[in-house]
Amino acid sequence: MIETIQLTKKYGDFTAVSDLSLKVEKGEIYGFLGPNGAGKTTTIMMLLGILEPTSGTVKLFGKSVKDDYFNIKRRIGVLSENQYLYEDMTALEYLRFFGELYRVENVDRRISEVLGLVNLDHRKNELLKGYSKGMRQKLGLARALLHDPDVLILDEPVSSLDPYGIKEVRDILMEENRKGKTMFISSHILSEIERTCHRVGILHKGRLLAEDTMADLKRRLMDEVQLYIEVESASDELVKSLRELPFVVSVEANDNKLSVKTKADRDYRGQLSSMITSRGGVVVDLRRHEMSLEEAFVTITENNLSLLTKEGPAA
Amino acid sequence: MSIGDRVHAIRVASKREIKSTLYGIGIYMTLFLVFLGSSVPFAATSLRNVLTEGMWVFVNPISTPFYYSVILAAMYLGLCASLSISRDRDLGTLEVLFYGPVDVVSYIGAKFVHLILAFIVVLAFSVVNFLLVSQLTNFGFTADFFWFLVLSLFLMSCMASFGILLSALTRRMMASVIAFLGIVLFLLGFNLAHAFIMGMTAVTPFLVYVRMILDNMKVVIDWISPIAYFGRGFAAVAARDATQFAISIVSSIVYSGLLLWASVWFFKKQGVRR
Repeated sequence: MIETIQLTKKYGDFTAVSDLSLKVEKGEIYGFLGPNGAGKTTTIMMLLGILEPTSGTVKLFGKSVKDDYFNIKRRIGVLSENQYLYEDMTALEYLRFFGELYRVENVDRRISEVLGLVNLDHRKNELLKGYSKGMRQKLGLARALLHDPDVLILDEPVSSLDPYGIKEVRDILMEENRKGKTMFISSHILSEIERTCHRVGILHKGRLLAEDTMADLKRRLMDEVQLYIEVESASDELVKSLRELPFVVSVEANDNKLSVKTKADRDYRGQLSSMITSRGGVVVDLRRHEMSLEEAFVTITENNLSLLTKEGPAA
Repeated sequence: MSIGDRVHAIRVASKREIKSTLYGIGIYMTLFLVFLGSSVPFAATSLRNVLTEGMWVFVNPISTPFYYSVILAAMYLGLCASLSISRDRDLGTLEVLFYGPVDVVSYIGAKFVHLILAFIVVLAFSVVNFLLVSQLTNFGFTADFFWFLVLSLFLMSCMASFGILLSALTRRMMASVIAFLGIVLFLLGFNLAHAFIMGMTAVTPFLVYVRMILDNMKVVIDWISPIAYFGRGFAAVAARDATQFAISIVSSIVYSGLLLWASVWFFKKQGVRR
Protein backbone atom coordinates (compact mmCIF):
# COMPACT_ATOMS: atom_id res chain seq x y z
CA MET A 1 0.00 0.00 0.00
CA ILE A 2 2.85 2.36 0.87
CA GLU A 3 6.32 1.96 -0.55
CA THR A 4 9.36 4.18 -0.65
CA ILE A 5 12.41 3.24 -2.69
CA GLN A 6 15.71 4.92 -1.83
CA LEU A 7 13.88 8.08 -0.90
CA THR A 8 16.16 11.03 -0.24
CA LYS A 9 15.47 14.64 0.61
CA LYS A 10 18.27 17.18 0.79
CA TYR A 11 18.18 20.86 1.70
CA GLY A 12 21.47 22.18 0.42
CA ASP A 13 24.16 20.24 2.25
CA PHE A 14 21.74 18.96 4.89
CA THR A 15 20.23 15.53 4.25
CA ALA A 16 16.83 15.29 5.95
CA VAL A 17 16.03 11.80 4.68
CA SER A 18 18.61 9.44 3.25
CA ASP A 19 17.98 6.40 1.07
CA LEU A 20 14.78 5.44 2.84
CA SER A 21 13.26 2.20 1.61
CA LEU A 22 10.22 0.86 3.41
CA LYS A 23 7.07 -1.02 2.60
CA VAL A 24 3.76 -1.08 4.44
CA GLU A 25 1.43 -3.92 3.53
CA LYS A 26 -2.37 -3.82 3.32
CA GLY A 27 -4.06 -3.96 6.71
CA GLU A 28 -0.82 -3.31 8.59
CA ILE A 29 -0.25 -0.71 11.30
CA TYR A 30 3.24 0.63 10.82
CA GLY A 31 4.84 2.72 13.55
CA PHE A 32 7.31 5.28 12.34
CA LEU A 33 9.60 6.35 15.16
CA GLY A 34 12.45 8.73 15.53
CA PRO A 35 13.69 11.56 17.70
CA ASN A 36 12.84 15.17 16.86
CA GLY A 37 14.42 16.18 13.57
CA ALA A 38 14.90 12.58 12.45
CA GLY A 39 13.03 13.24 9.19
CA LYS A 40 9.64 11.68 10.01
CA THR A 41 7.47 14.62 8.97
CA THR A 42 9.63 15.21 5.88
CA THR A 43 9.01 11.58 4.93
CA ILE A 44 5.25 11.96 5.47
CA MET A 45 5.23 15.12 3.34
CA MET A 46 6.98 13.22 0.56
CA LEU A 47 4.49 10.35 0.87
CA LEU A 48 1.69 12.88 0.39
CA GLY A 49 3.35 14.50 -2.62
CA ILE A 50 3.60 17.79 -0.71
CA LEU A 51 7.40 17.74 -0.76
CA GLU A 52 9.30 16.74 -3.85
CA PRO A 53 12.02 14.15 -3.08
CA THR A 54 15.57 14.95 -4.16
CA SER A 55 15.80 11.37 -5.39
CA GLY A 56 13.98 8.08 -4.97
CA THR A 57 10.39 7.03 -5.43
CA VAL A 58 7.18 7.00 -3.43
CA LYS A 59 4.42 4.62 -4.35
CA LEU A 60 0.94 4.56 -2.89
CA PHE A 61 -1.36 1.74 -3.98
CA GLY A 62 1.39 0.74 -6.40
CA LYS A 63 1.39 4.07 -8.22
CA SER A 64 3.32 7.30 -8.02
CA VAL A 65 1.17 10.09 -6.52
CA LYS A 66 1.82 12.18 -9.64
CA ASP A 67 0.37 9.47 -11.89
CA ASP A 68 -3.06 9.43 -10.30
CA TYR A 69 -3.00 12.46 -8.00
CA PHE A 70 -6.69 13.03 -7.27
CA ASN A 71 -7.73 9.39 -6.95
CA ILE A 72 -4.80 8.58 -4.66
CA LYS A 73 -5.50 11.63 -2.48
CA ARG A 74 -9.13 10.56 -2.12
CA ARG A 75 -7.96 7.19 -0.77
CA ILE A 76 -5.75 8.65 1.97
CA GLY A 77 -6.77 10.17 5.29
CA VAL A 78 -4.21 12.39 6.98
CA LEU A 79 -4.02 13.67 10.52
CA SER A 80 -1.18 16.06 11.25
CA GLU A 81 0.37 16.86 14.60
CA ASN A 82 -1.04 20.41 14.70
CA GLN A 83 -4.60 21.05 13.71
CA TYR A 84 -4.97 24.04 11.43
CA LEU A 85 -8.66 24.75 11.16
CA TYR A 86 -10.87 27.37 9.55
CA GLU A 87 -11.65 29.20 12.78
CA ASP A 88 -14.74 30.94 11.38
CA MET A 89 -16.46 27.61 10.68
CA THR A 90 -18.39 25.24 12.91
CA ALA A 91 -17.35 21.58 13.05
CA LEU A 92 -20.34 20.73 10.90
CA GLU A 93 -19.44 23.31 8.24
CA TYR A 94 -15.79 22.25 8.35
CA LEU A 95 -16.60 18.59 7.76
CA ARG A 96 -19.20 19.44 5.11
CA PHE A 97 -16.52 21.37 3.23
CA PHE A 98 -14.10 18.45 3.30
CA GLY A 99 -16.93 16.00 2.61
CA GLU A 100 -17.77 17.88 -0.55
CA LEU A 101 -14.10 18.17 -1.51
CA TYR A 102 -13.65 14.40 -1.17
CA ARG A 103 -17.04 13.75 -2.85
CA VAL A 104 -18.40 11.85 0.16
CA GLU A 105 -21.83 10.34 -0.48
CA ASN A 106 -24.58 10.91 2.12
CA VAL A 107 -22.26 13.44 3.68
CA ASP A 108 -24.51 14.50 6.58
CA ARG A 109 -25.01 10.91 7.71
CA ARG A 110 -21.27 10.26 7.48
CA ILE A 111 -20.47 13.48 9.39
CA SER A 112 -22.84 12.37 12.12
CA GLU A 113 -21.03 9.00 12.25
CA VAL A 114 -17.51 10.38 12.51
CA LEU A 115 -18.49 13.11 14.98
CA GLY A 116 -20.15 10.41 17.07
CA LEU A 117 -16.94 8.35 16.90
CA VAL A 118 -14.82 11.15 18.30
CA ASN A 119 -17.49 12.30 20.74
CA LEU A 120 -17.96 15.76 19.27
CA ASP A 121 -21.52 15.38 18.02
CA HIS A 122 -22.86 17.67 20.74
CA ARG A 123 -20.34 20.44 19.85
CA LYS A 124 -20.85 20.34 16.08
CA ASN A 125 -22.50 23.76 15.85
CA GLU A 126 -19.82 25.61 17.81
CA LEU A 127 -17.24 27.77 16.07
CA LEU A 128 -13.87 26.05 15.82
CA LYS A 129 -12.03 29.01 17.33
CA GLY A 130 -13.54 27.93 20.67
CA TYR A 131 -12.27 24.35 20.41
CA SER A 132 -9.62 23.09 22.83
CA LYS A 133 -6.42 21.42 21.59
CA GLY A 134 -7.80 17.97 22.31
CA MET A 135 -11.09 18.72 20.52
CA ARG A 136 -9.15 20.01 17.52
CA GLN A 137 -7.14 16.81 17.43
CA LYS A 138 -10.32 14.73 17.50
CA LEU A 139 -11.91 16.86 14.79
CA GLY A 140 -8.77 16.34 12.70
CA LEU A 141 -9.23 12.60 13.11
CA ALA A 142 -12.90 12.94 12.12
CA ARG A 143 -11.79 14.77 8.97
CA ALA A 144 -9.20 12.09 8.22
CA LEU A 145 -11.84 9.35 8.56
CA LEU A 146 -14.69 11.23 6.86
CA HIS A 147 -14.15 9.83 3.35
CA ASP A 148 -13.49 6.30 4.63
CA PRO A 149 -9.94 6.14 3.24
CA ASP A 150 -7.99 2.93 2.62
CA VAL A 151 -4.83 4.34 4.17
CA LEU A 152 -4.48 6.54 7.23
CA ILE A 153 -1.32 8.57 7.67
CA LEU A 154 -1.17 9.88 11.21
CA ASP A 155 1.46 12.24 12.55
CA GLU A 156 1.40 12.27 16.37
CA PRO A 157 -2.31 11.37 16.54
CA VAL A 158 -2.60 11.46 20.33
CA SER A 159 -0.07 14.11 21.28
CA SER A 160 -2.65 16.66 22.49
CA LEU A 161 -5.01 14.24 24.18
CA ASP A 162 -5.66 13.38 27.82
CA PRO A 163 -5.58 9.69 28.86
CA TYR A 164 -9.33 9.27 28.10
CA GLY A 165 -8.83 10.85 24.69
CA ILE A 166 -5.82 8.65 24.00
CA LYS A 167 -7.83 5.53 24.77
CA GLU A 168 -10.74 6.79 22.68
CA VAL A 169 -8.50 7.43 19.68
CA ARG A 170 -6.63 4.13 20.15
CA ASP A 171 -9.93 2.23 20.15
CA ILE A 172 -11.07 4.05 17.01
CA LEU A 173 -7.81 3.28 15.22
CA MET A 174 -7.88 -0.38 16.23
CA GLU A 175 -11.48 -0.66 15.02
CA GLU A 176 -10.63 1.00 11.71
CA ASN A 177 -7.70 -1.40 11.32
CA ARG A 178 -10.03 -4.33 11.98
CA LYS A 179 -12.15 -3.01 9.10
CA GLY A 180 -9.06 -3.30 6.89
CA LYS A 181 -7.48 0.13 6.95
CA THR A 182 -3.72 0.37 6.58
CA MET A 183 -2.07 2.82 8.95
CA PHE A 184 1.20 4.66 9.01
CA ILE A 185 1.67 6.24 12.43
CA SER A 186 4.42 8.57 13.46
CA SER A 187 4.53 9.17 17.20
CA HIS A 188 6.70 10.04 20.15
CA ILE A 189 4.41 8.20 22.54
CA LEU A 190 6.21 4.89 22.33
CA SER A 191 3.82 3.06 24.64
CA GLU A 192 1.03 3.80 22.16
CA ILE A 193 3.10 2.57 19.24
CA GLU A 194 3.95 -0.56 21.18
CA ARG A 195 0.27 -1.23 21.86
CA THR A 196 -1.05 -0.55 18.39
CA CYS A 197 1.59 -1.24 15.74
CA HIS A 198 2.35 -4.50 14.01
CA ARG A 199 5.72 -3.30 12.76
CA VAL A 200 7.93 -0.35 13.52
CA GLY A 201 10.59 1.52 11.65
CA ILE A 202 13.12 3.62 13.54
CA LEU A 203 14.48 6.66 11.77
CA HIS A 204 17.50 8.55 13.05
CA LYS A 205 19.23 11.46 11.33
CA GLY A 206 17.30 10.66 8.16
CA ARG A 207 18.38 7.01 8.05
CA LEU A 208 16.15 4.04 8.73
CA LEU A 209 18.06 2.12 11.39
CA ALA A 210 15.61 -0.63 12.17
CA GLU A 211 12.42 -2.09 10.76
CA ASP A 212 10.80 -5.15 12.26
CA THR A 213 7.97 -6.52 14.37
CA MET A 214 8.11 -5.45 17.98
CA ALA A 215 9.10 -8.92 19.22
CA ASP A 216 11.86 -9.45 16.68
CA LEU A 217 13.23 -5.97 17.18
CA LYS A 218 13.60 -6.55 20.92
CA ARG A 219 15.01 -10.02 20.44
CA ARG A 220 17.67 -8.73 18.09
CA LEU A 221 18.66 -6.01 20.50
CA MET A 222 19.13 -8.30 23.46
CA ASP A 223 22.34 -10.37 23.78
CA GLU A 224 21.09 -11.83 27.03
CA VAL A 225 17.68 -12.52 28.50
CA GLN A 226 16.90 -11.69 32.10
CA LEU A 227 14.63 -14.18 33.90
CA TYR A 228 13.13 -13.83 37.37
CA ILE A 229 12.39 -17.18 38.98
CA GLU A 230 10.71 -17.65 42.35
CA VAL A 231 11.13 -21.12 43.85
CA GLU A 232 9.86 -22.62 47.13
CA SER A 233 13.41 -22.99 48.33
CA ALA A 234 16.63 -21.90 46.63
CA SER A 235 19.32 -24.27 47.91
CA ASP A 236 23.03 -23.68 47.18
CA GLU A 237 23.00 -26.93 45.24
CA LEU A 238 20.21 -25.69 42.98
CA VAL A 239 22.00 -22.41 42.32
CA LYS A 240 25.22 -24.28 41.56
CA SER A 241 23.42 -26.59 39.12
CA LEU A 242 21.86 -23.62 37.35
CA ARG A 243 25.24 -21.92 36.97
CA GLU A 244 26.62 -25.05 35.34
CA LEU A 245 24.07 -24.99 32.54
CA PRO A 246 25.79 -24.06 29.23
CA PHE A 247 23.21 -21.40 28.24
CA VAL A 248 23.19 -19.69 31.63
CA VAL A 249 25.36 -16.57 31.82
CA SER A 250 24.88 -15.73 35.51
CA VAL A 251 22.70 -16.53 38.52
CA GLU A 252 22.02 -14.35 41.53
CA ALA A 253 20.06 -15.64 44.48
CA ASN A 254 18.14 -13.58 47.01
CA ASP A 255 16.29 -15.88 49.47
CA ASN A 256 13.98 -17.90 47.27
CA LYS A 257 14.18 -15.47 44.32
CA LEU A 258 16.63 -16.09 41.51
CA SER A 259 17.75 -13.69 38.86
CA VAL A 260 19.03 -15.70 35.91
CA LYS A 261 20.63 -14.36 32.76
CA THR A 262 20.60 -16.67 29.76
CA LYS A 263 21.79 -16.39 26.19
CA ALA A 264 19.26 -14.74 23.89
CA ASP A 265 19.53 -17.21 21.00
CA ARG A 266 16.35 -19.03 22.13
CA ASP A 267 13.78 -19.31 24.91
CA TYR A 268 15.27 -21.39 27.76
CA ARG A 269 12.41 -21.05 30.24
CA GLY A 270 11.16 -24.60 29.67
CA GLN A 271 14.58 -26.14 30.21
CA LEU A 272 15.16 -24.10 33.35
CA SER A 273 11.79 -25.09 34.78
CA SER A 274 12.41 -28.81 34.03
CA MET A 275 15.86 -28.67 35.56
CA ILE A 276 14.60 -27.06 38.78
CA THR A 277 11.78 -29.63 39.05
CA SER A 278 14.24 -32.53 38.43
CA ARG A 279 16.34 -31.25 41.36
CA GLY A 280 13.23 -31.41 43.57
CA GLY A 281 12.54 -27.69 43.44
CA VAL A 282 9.14 -26.09 42.88
CA VAL A 283 8.78 -23.11 40.53
CA VAL A 284 6.32 -20.60 42.00
CA ASP A 285 6.81 -17.89 39.40
CA LEU A 286 8.88 -17.47 36.25
CA ARG A 287 8.96 -14.17 34.39
CA ARG A 288 11.05 -12.79 31.57
CA HIS A 289 12.08 -9.16 31.65
CA GLU A 290 10.63 -7.65 28.45
CA MET A 291 12.57 -4.88 26.81
CA SER A 292 10.22 -1.96 26.28
CA LEU A 293 10.05 -0.18 22.95
CA GLU A 294 11.41 2.83 24.77
CA GLU A 295 14.53 0.89 25.78
CA ALA A 296 14.88 -0.47 22.24
CA PHE A 297 14.41 3.00 20.77
CA VAL A 298 17.00 4.56 23.05
CA THR A 299 19.47 1.70 22.45
CA ILE A 300 19.15 2.02 18.68
CA THR A 301 19.19 5.78 18.36
CA GLU A 302 21.82 6.50 21.04
CA ASN A 303 24.21 3.96 19.56
CA ASN A 304 23.14 4.66 15.96
CA LEU A 305 22.69 0.91 15.53
CA SER A 306 21.55 -0.33 12.17
CA LEU A 307 19.35 -3.42 12.45
CA LEU A 308 18.44 -3.55 8.82
CA THR A 309 20.52 -6.67 8.19
CA LYS A 310 18.68 -9.79 9.35
CA GLU A 311 21.80 -11.21 11.05
CA GLY A 312 21.64 -8.92 14.04
CA PRO A 313 22.91 -5.64 15.41
CA ALA A 314 25.71 -3.99 13.52
CA ALA A 315 27.07 -0.58 14.19
CA MET B 1 -4.74 14.77 -14.07
CA SER B 2 -8.47 14.90 -14.58
CA ILE B 3 -9.96 18.26 -15.56
CA GLY B 4 -13.21 17.24 -13.85
CA ASP B 5 -11.36 16.71 -10.55
CA ARG B 6 -9.69 20.10 -10.85
CA VAL B 7 -12.95 21.86 -11.68
CA HIS B 8 -14.60 20.15 -8.70
CA ALA B 9 -11.79 21.25 -6.36
CA ILE B 10 -11.98 24.82 -7.70
CA ARG B 11 -15.76 24.88 -7.25
CA VAL B 12 -15.71 23.57 -3.68
CA ALA B 13 -12.75 25.65 -2.48
CA SER B 14 -13.99 28.89 -4.05
CA LYS B 15 -17.48 28.28 -2.63
CA ARG B 16 -16.02 28.09 0.87
CA GLU B 17 -14.08 31.30 0.32
CA ILE B 18 -16.97 33.28 -1.14
CA LYS B 19 -19.18 32.19 1.76
CA SER B 20 -16.54 33.34 4.17
CA THR B 21 -16.31 36.69 2.33
CA LEU B 22 -20.08 37.20 2.27
CA TYR B 23 -20.47 36.36 5.97
CA GLY B 24 -17.58 38.67 6.89
CA ILE B 25 -17.86 42.40 7.46
CA GLY B 26 -14.84 43.39 5.31
CA ILE B 27 -16.60 43.44 1.96
CA TYR B 28 -19.51 45.55 3.25
CA MET B 29 -17.19 48.02 4.94
CA THR B 30 -15.31 48.28 1.67
CA LEU B 31 -18.50 48.81 -0.30
CA PHE B 32 -19.50 51.59 2.05
CA LEU B 33 -16.09 53.25 1.83
CA VAL B 34 -15.96 52.76 -1.95
CA PHE B 35 -19.34 54.43 -2.47
CA LEU B 36 -18.48 57.20 -0.07
CA GLY B 37 -15.04 57.67 -1.58
CA SER B 38 -16.29 57.74 -5.16
CA SER B 39 -19.55 59.67 -4.68
CA VAL B 40 -18.73 62.43 -2.20
CA PRO B 41 -15.86 64.05 -4.15
CA PHE B 42 -17.92 63.71 -7.36
CA ALA B 43 -21.01 65.27 -5.78
CA ALA B 44 -18.92 68.03 -4.20
CA THR B 45 -17.21 68.86 -7.51
CA SER B 46 -20.53 68.80 -9.39
CA LEU B 47 -22.26 71.03 -6.86
CA ARG B 48 -19.34 73.47 -6.82
CA ASN B 49 -19.40 73.64 -10.62
CA VAL B 50 -23.14 74.12 -10.71
CA LEU B 51 -22.94 76.81 -8.05
CA THR B 52 -20.13 78.69 -9.78
CA GLU B 53 -21.09 78.13 -13.42
CA GLY B 54 -24.86 77.96 -13.01
CA MET B 55 -24.93 74.97 -15.31
CA TRP B 56 -22.59 72.07 -15.87
CA VAL B 57 -22.47 69.89 -18.96
CA PHE B 58 -21.25 66.37 -18.32
CA VAL B 59 -21.12 63.38 -20.66
CA ASN B 60 -21.75 60.04 -18.93
CA PRO B 61 -22.12 61.58 -15.46
CA ILE B 62 -22.25 58.18 -13.73
CA SER B 63 -19.09 56.88 -15.42
CA THR B 64 -16.47 58.80 -13.44
CA PRO B 65 -17.69 57.81 -9.94
CA PHE B 66 -18.24 54.29 -11.26
CA TYR B 67 -14.67 54.24 -12.60
CA TYR B 68 -13.28 55.19 -9.19
CA SER B 69 -15.55 52.87 -7.26
CA VAL B 70 -14.50 49.96 -9.47
CA ILE B 71 -10.81 50.83 -9.09
CA LEU B 72 -11.12 51.13 -5.29
CA ALA B 73 -13.04 47.85 -4.99
CA ALA B 74 -10.55 46.08 -7.27
CA MET B 75 -7.67 47.44 -5.19
CA TYR B 76 -9.28 46.15 -2.00
CA LEU B 77 -9.81 42.72 -3.58
CA GLY B 78 -6.29 42.88 -5.01
CA LEU B 79 -5.02 43.37 -1.47
CA CYS B 80 -7.14 40.39 -0.39
CA ALA B 81 -5.62 38.41 -3.28
CA SER B 82 -2.11 39.33 -2.20
CA LEU B 83 -2.92 37.96 1.27
CA SER B 84 -4.80 34.90 0.09
CA ILE B 85 -2.01 32.32 -0.20
CA SER B 86 0.33 33.69 2.46
CA ARG B 87 -2.57 33.83 4.98
CA ASP B 88 -3.46 30.19 4.29
CA ARG B 89 0.20 29.27 4.63
CA ASP B 90 0.59 31.30 7.84
CA LEU B 91 -2.52 29.69 9.36
CA GLY B 92 -1.45 26.21 8.23
CA THR B 93 -4.78 25.57 6.47
CA LEU B 94 -2.94 25.42 3.14
CA GLU B 95 -1.15 22.24 4.16
CA VAL B 96 -4.39 20.57 5.30
CA LEU B 97 -6.04 21.38 1.99
CA PHE B 98 -3.18 19.70 0.12
CA TYR B 99 -3.58 16.50 2.12
CA GLY B 100 -6.71 16.06 0.04
CA PRO B 101 -7.68 16.17 -3.63
CA VAL B 102 -6.43 19.70 -4.31
CA ASP B 103 -3.41 20.48 -6.47
CA VAL B 104 -1.58 23.75 -7.14
CA VAL B 105 -3.55 24.58 -10.28
CA SER B 106 -6.93 23.98 -8.63
CA TYR B 107 -5.86 25.91 -5.53
CA ILE B 108 -4.74 28.98 -7.51
CA GLY B 109 -7.83 28.60 -9.72
CA ALA B 110 -10.08 28.61 -6.65
CA LYS B 111 -8.43 31.79 -5.34
CA PHE B 112 -8.97 33.46 -8.69
CA VAL B 113 -12.60 32.36 -9.04
CA HIS B 114 -13.34 33.49 -5.49
CA LEU B 115 -12.01 36.98 -6.17
CA ILE B 116 -13.97 37.29 -9.41
CA LEU B 117 -17.15 36.13 -7.63
CA ALA B 118 -16.54 38.60 -4.79
CA PHE B 119 -16.11 41.34 -7.38
CA ILE B 120 -19.37 40.37 -9.08
CA VAL B 121 -21.07 40.83 -5.70
CA VAL B 122 -19.45 44.26 -5.42
CA LEU B 123 -20.55 45.07 -8.97
CA ALA B 124 -24.12 44.07 -8.17
CA PHE B 125 -24.16 46.45 -5.21
CA SER B 126 -22.53 49.14 -7.37
CA VAL B 127 -25.19 48.84 -10.04
CA VAL B 128 -27.92 49.15 -7.41
CA ASN B 129 -26.12 52.11 -5.87
CA PHE B 130 -25.74 53.94 -9.18
CA LEU B 131 -29.32 53.13 -10.18
CA LEU B 132 -30.41 54.82 -6.97
CA VAL B 133 -28.10 57.77 -7.67
CA SER B 134 -29.55 57.95 -11.16
CA GLN B 135 -33.11 57.96 -9.80
CA LEU B 136 -32.29 60.62 -7.21
CA THR B 137 -30.31 62.92 -9.50
CA ASN B 138 -31.89 62.21 -12.88
CA PHE B 139 -28.40 61.48 -14.24
CA GLY B 140 -29.03 58.98 -16.99
CA PHE B 141 -27.33 55.73 -17.79
CA THR B 142 -25.88 55.25 -21.25
CA ALA B 143 -24.99 52.05 -23.09
CA ASP B 144 -21.35 52.77 -22.16
CA PHE B 145 -22.17 51.83 -18.59
CA PHE B 146 -22.78 48.25 -19.70
CA TRP B 147 -19.37 48.14 -21.42
CA PHE B 148 -17.73 49.59 -18.31
CA LEU B 149 -19.30 46.76 -16.34
CA VAL B 150 -17.88 44.17 -18.74
CA LEU B 151 -14.51 45.90 -18.70
CA SER B 152 -14.39 46.02 -14.92
CA LEU B 153 -14.50 42.22 -14.78
CA PHE B 154 -11.28 42.15 -16.77
CA LEU B 155 -9.78 44.79 -14.49
CA MET B 156 -10.57 42.49 -11.59
CA SER B 157 -9.08 39.57 -13.46
CA CYS B 158 -5.80 41.51 -13.84
CA MET B 159 -5.88 42.76 -10.26
CA ALA B 160 -6.66 39.27 -8.86
CA SER B 161 -3.87 37.57 -10.79
CA PHE B 162 -1.48 40.38 -9.83
CA GLY B 163 -2.35 39.95 -6.12
CA ILE B 164 -2.20 36.15 -6.31
CA LEU B 165 1.26 36.35 -7.90
CA LEU B 166 2.50 38.58 -5.07
CA SER B 167 1.01 36.16 -2.55
CA ALA B 168 2.71 33.21 -4.26
CA LEU B 169 6.01 35.09 -4.18
CA THR B 170 5.90 35.95 -0.48
CA ARG B 171 5.78 33.52 2.44
CA ARG B 172 4.34 35.78 5.16
CA MET B 173 1.20 37.90 5.29
CA MET B 174 3.09 41.01 6.33
CA ALA B 175 5.47 40.65 3.40
CA SER B 176 2.49 40.27 1.04
CA VAL B 177 0.81 43.44 2.33
CA ILE B 178 4.03 45.42 2.13
CA ALA B 179 4.72 44.17 -1.41
CA PHE B 180 1.19 44.96 -2.62
CA LEU B 181 0.94 48.39 -1.03
CA GLY B 182 4.51 49.23 -2.05
CA ILE B 183 3.89 48.40 -5.70
CA VAL B 184 0.47 50.10 -5.84
CA LEU B 185 1.82 53.24 -4.18
CA PHE B 186 4.78 53.26 -6.57
CA LEU B 187 2.44 52.95 -9.58
CA LEU B 188 0.15 55.71 -8.30
CA GLY B 189 3.11 57.91 -7.41
CA PHE B 190 4.66 57.33 -10.80
CA ASN B 191 1.44 58.24 -12.63
CA LEU B 192 1.01 61.39 -10.55
CA ALA B 193 4.63 62.39 -11.13
CA HIS B 194 4.29 61.64 -14.84
CA ALA B 195 1.11 63.72 -15.16
CA PHE B 196 2.65 66.57 -13.17
CA ILE B 197 5.87 66.69 -15.18
CA MET B 198 4.05 66.38 -18.50
CA GLY B 199 1.84 69.27 -17.44
CA MET B 200 4.73 71.61 -16.66
CA THR B 201 4.87 74.55 -19.02
CA ALA B 202 8.46 75.71 -18.54
CA VAL B 203 10.51 73.53 -20.86
CA THR B 204 14.22 73.09 -20.18
CA PRO B 205 16.65 70.58 -21.72
CA PHE B 206 16.74 68.75 -18.40
CA LEU B 207 12.93 68.53 -18.28
CA VAL B 208 12.82 67.20 -21.82
CA TYR B 209 15.29 64.52 -20.80
CA VAL B 210 13.25 63.63 -17.69
CA ARG B 211 10.06 63.52 -19.75
CA MET B 212 11.69 61.17 -22.21
CA ILE B 213 12.78 58.83 -19.44
CA LEU B 214 9.36 58.95 -17.76
CA ASP B 215 7.57 58.31 -21.05
CA ASN B 216 9.69 55.25 -21.71
CA MET B 217 9.12 54.05 -18.17
CA LYS B 218 5.40 54.60 -18.58
CA VAL B 219 5.28 52.37 -21.63
CA VAL B 220 6.73 49.53 -19.56
CA ILE B 221 4.70 50.29 -16.43
CA ASP B 222 1.47 50.41 -18.43
CA TRP B 223 2.03 46.77 -19.31
CA ILE B 224 2.82 45.85 -15.71
CA SER B 225 0.14 47.82 -13.87
CA PRO B 226 -3.20 45.99 -13.72
CA ILE B 227 -5.06 49.30 -13.50
CA ALA B 228 -3.55 50.50 -16.78
CA TYR B 229 -5.41 47.73 -18.63
CA PHE B 230 -8.71 49.08 -17.32
CA GLY B 231 -7.65 52.64 -18.17
CA ARG B 232 -7.02 51.67 -21.80
CA GLY B 233 -10.37 49.93 -22.08
CA PHE B 234 -12.16 52.80 -20.36
CA ALA B 235 -10.62 55.25 -22.83
CA ALA B 236 -11.62 52.95 -25.71
CA VAL B 237 -15.26 52.90 -24.56
CA ALA B 238 -15.27 56.67 -24.13
CA ALA B 239 -13.82 57.03 -27.63
CA ARG B 240 -16.25 54.41 -29.02
CA ASP B 241 -13.26 52.48 -30.36
CA ALA B 242 -14.32 48.83 -30.63
CA THR B 243 -10.88 47.65 -31.79
CA GLN B 244 -9.05 49.21 -28.84
CA PHE B 245 -11.75 47.87 -26.53
CA ALA B 246 -11.22 44.34 -27.88
CA ILE B 247 -7.43 44.74 -27.63
CA SER B 248 -7.71 45.85 -24.00
CA ILE B 249 -9.84 42.80 -23.18
CA VAL B 250 -7.56 40.35 -24.99
CA SER B 251 -4.46 41.89 -23.40
CA SER B 252 -6.14 41.65 -19.96
CA ILE B 253 -6.78 37.95 -20.57
CA VAL B 254 -3.19 37.37 -21.65
CA TYR B 255 -1.88 39.39 -18.67
CA SER B 256 -4.04 37.40 -16.22
CA GLY B 257 -3.09 34.07 -17.79
CA LEU B 258 0.63 34.85 -17.64
CA LEU B 259 0.49 36.01 -14.03
CA LEU B 260 -1.55 32.98 -12.94
CA TRP B 261 0.89 30.69 -14.69
CA ALA B 262 3.77 32.46 -12.91
CA SER B 263 1.84 32.12 -9.62
CA VAL B 264 1.60 28.34 -10.08
CA TRP B 265 5.32 28.19 -10.81
CA PHE B 266 6.35 30.29 -7.79
CA PHE B 267 3.85 28.52 -5.53
CA LYS B 268 5.49 25.20 -6.39
CA LYS B 269 8.86 26.70 -5.48
CA GLN B 270 7.59 28.05 -2.14
CA GLY B 271 5.71 24.89 -1.17
CA VAL B 272 2.65 24.56 1.05
CA ARG B 273 4.31 24.22 4.45
CA ARG B 274 4.44 27.02 7.00
